[in-house]
Amino acid sequence: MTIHTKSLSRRGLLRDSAMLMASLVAIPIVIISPAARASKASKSDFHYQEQPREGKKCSDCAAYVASPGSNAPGACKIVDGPVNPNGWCMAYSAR
Amino acid sequence: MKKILSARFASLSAAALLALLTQGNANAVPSFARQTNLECTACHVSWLELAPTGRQFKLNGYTLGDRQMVPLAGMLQVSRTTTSNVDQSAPDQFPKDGDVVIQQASLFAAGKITDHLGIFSQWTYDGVAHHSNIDNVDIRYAQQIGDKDHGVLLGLTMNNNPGLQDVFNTVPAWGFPFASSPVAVGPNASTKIEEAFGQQVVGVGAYSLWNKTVYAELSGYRTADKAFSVFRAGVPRADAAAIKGLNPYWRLALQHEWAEGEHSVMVGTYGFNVDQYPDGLDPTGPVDRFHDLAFDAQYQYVTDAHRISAQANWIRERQNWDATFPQGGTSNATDTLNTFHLKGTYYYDRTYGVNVSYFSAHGDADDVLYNTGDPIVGSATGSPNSSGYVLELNYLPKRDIRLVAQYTGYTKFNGASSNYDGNGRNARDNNTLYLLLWMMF
Repeated sequence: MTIHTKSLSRRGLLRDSAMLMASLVAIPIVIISPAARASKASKSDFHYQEQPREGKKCSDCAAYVASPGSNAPGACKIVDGPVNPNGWCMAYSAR
Repeated sequence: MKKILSARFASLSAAALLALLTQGNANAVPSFARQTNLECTACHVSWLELAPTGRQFKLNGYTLGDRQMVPLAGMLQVSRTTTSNVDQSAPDQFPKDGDVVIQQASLFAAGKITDHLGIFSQWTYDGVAHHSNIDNVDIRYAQQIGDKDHGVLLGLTMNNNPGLQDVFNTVPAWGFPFASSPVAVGPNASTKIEEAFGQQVVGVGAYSLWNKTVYAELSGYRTADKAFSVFRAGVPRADAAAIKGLNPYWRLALQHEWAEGEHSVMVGTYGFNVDQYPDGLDPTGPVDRFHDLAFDAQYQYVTDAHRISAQANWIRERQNWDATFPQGGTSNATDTLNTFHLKGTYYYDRTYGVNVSYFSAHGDADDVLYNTGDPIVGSATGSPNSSGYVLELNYLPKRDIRLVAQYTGYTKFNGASSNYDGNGRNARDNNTLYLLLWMMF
């Protein structure tokens, strides 16, 4: 009887483990779609705007990556797409 | 000669590691700050309470920013606890009271792994117990799909503490107080979701944030044994709980941000149903069943000069002692326990802060469960009822150094305000003053 109980328990553990591992593998496959984007966040998630806010602007932010040319749009380590050096978002951190 | 070279190598390695850890911005979990180039107060109201930016960072799977070669960080807590009335007849209940102790030292491996995969993991040395073990671990996969501005953020989490994956500072895993005394006497009753299973179970779940408004999550937890024992590495086997099968945890929250994220509000609910074996060393036979249902709410106002936040959290737990009651381990076949936490915060100039909180627990009296007959920690009435408050002052001379003075006062403790243990001890005797130096690097 004891052996029988242990056997059932082992099967249960194997089943649970298999479910966990299957979830880990399957769900990413399911959620990857052609519309999937790169890992950066959307501008709207960080309330990005094209204007400075209270004197703060992207070109002064530590996450801003400038492009050659002083007024050319740059990039950001956090939000996706071209970034106006005079823009602003809520992740702003002074250099 | 070999010993000398080894010692020099060790010294140089330690120096290199320290230099690596202390370079650049050192804020919040500093490896995240190095990854994003953001300062801590961009992601936190004041660490560790997450602001809207921090919630986005976590929901995006810790992947925003540049991957670091060595995403390591460290933490050190040094503290001193003074209890109002130390009972000299039971010194074992007040270890290190009045002593300065290294409360905790942690090493974090935390950062982006791939564009969609990230990790928060922590290994902690407990300076009071002189023991180290794995701490919180959260491995996340996240991806946004659909319309850029109105799409869905989908993610997976694998973690070892129910609630750890949450992004709001209402849930027990991230609730206030953010640090507390490692040696003070505390009330005897808490719900299972209040960190009863941290570093003892492992769970995997899926979450989504739709239109930046609706957050939903479903996870399942099991005992962190066999192939998953790494999630409880270092935890003494005798201390580890065992739960039966997969146990569901769920979360639903509605959030809204306005004024460019200066204001944010959330109302939500979450729950955890868990079947636990009474003896963690013998995961067979009948189990006790716990059903936790919680409702929570949060408001934050975040600017550089002024920061205000408030959280409320109410948990109702239904306890079915299907295994323990027949063995005489409880007086009742079922019990109910409710806990409530309310907290308010104000920070000026991101440097000077005050936290005020009220907490309470009340539920069914259960003589066998709570009236242990022990002085100080027992309850003469067999009651889980406790209530009190926390007043806390914070000063951050640097963004990564925090000085804390925290006073905890009890108006009721284990069932009564006075003579709660039947040995003449009063609730206020357990009031504590806790001083903390907390450093991140």
